[in-house]
Amino acid sequence: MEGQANVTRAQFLATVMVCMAVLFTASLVVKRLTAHTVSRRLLAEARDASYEQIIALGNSLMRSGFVPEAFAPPAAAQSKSPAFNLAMGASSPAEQLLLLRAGLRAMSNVRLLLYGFYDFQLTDPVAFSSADLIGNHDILYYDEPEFARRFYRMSRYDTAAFEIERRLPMLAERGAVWGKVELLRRAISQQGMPKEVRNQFGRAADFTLLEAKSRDEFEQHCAVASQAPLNAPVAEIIHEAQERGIRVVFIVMPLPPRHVQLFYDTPSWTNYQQHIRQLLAASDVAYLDASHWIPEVTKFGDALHLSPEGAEEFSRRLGQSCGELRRSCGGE
Amino acid sequence: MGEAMNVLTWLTEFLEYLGGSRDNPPKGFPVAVANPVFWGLWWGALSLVIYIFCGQSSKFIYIDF
Repeated sequence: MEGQANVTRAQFLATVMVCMAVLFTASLVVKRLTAHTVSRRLLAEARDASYEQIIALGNSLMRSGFVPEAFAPPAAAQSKSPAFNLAMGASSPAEQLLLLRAGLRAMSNVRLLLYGFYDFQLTDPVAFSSADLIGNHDILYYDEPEFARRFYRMSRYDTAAFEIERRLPMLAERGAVWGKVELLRRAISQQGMPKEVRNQFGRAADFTLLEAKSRDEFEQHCAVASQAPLNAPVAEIIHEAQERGIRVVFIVMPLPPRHVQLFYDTPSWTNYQQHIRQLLAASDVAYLDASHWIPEVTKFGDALHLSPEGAEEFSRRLGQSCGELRRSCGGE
Repeated sequence: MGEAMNVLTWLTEFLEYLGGSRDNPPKGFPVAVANPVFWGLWWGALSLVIYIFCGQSSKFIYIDF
């Protein structure tokens, strides 16, 4: 106790100040190291785009499933495709809205928006807790945060945490740091174990966690969602696109045969589809059901995502289906 | 052998002191308890270790983008 008694208040405060200086420096380092996260790279690519006429938007299903060159081949060998894949993995419609706005600020000639979705992405309310905002959700912290807050729900406690976190890079980008630790942990846990199946987004087996646990659960969800309106960010995506005269097409993305047979080949899903068709028709949005387009399980990388081969096939077929639409929009 | 044991004992006491389970430093501890720079750096380092490793319970489904 002798040592503790010798510490004065001034010395204690000085210690706290040094500690804060360490954390502030660490925050600057984190900010520098996370200058090229996935969402930032995508925003930078969108800013560099200018003449593209078609935007593909959505989550990882669209990101991995849409190949611009297969959808709309470049006019000349050296030129780029007129389509731009602005979809982002692990994103909700709220982040997709921000990406679309960033894309529309850079691309003035967009005539067609392709929005890929699956399950209840259009009608489930978008809600987050502060703990959810890691990984690609980081865009909500730094790109038009006040605007985006109008399109997703948060408790008052989480809102307060959000306001603090978005001002401190170390907190806003904590997911990037934790992700590296998680990769290290997984690499260590893999020592001497059978190799796990992985794809561009992570462990293939993890993606079964994103599906409903059973057909019953899915059908109950269908029943509730069949009464729901389009969620706020999806409605805003439509509004922002149509305000600029852009034709909008919503596409049910191709899903593996297991998902289709278990969940989509049911009366409940048919009823839900009918419901969203009506909602979209009322907003003058075209609807395309591509969920059955790829029946071969080998053309999927996991429980949800197309493999590169499946993505080529889907994009080519989507390009053919949208050919007339693209011509009518002046996309060719 | 005796020397090695002394070093190990000192090291144990040193770590216990740093960890807060011992009030007084071992003999020969190089930093005065009132040195704010040392203790500030030490607290900062501990905070960073906690920060780096406190995300394990988070859901990491998408990770390899």
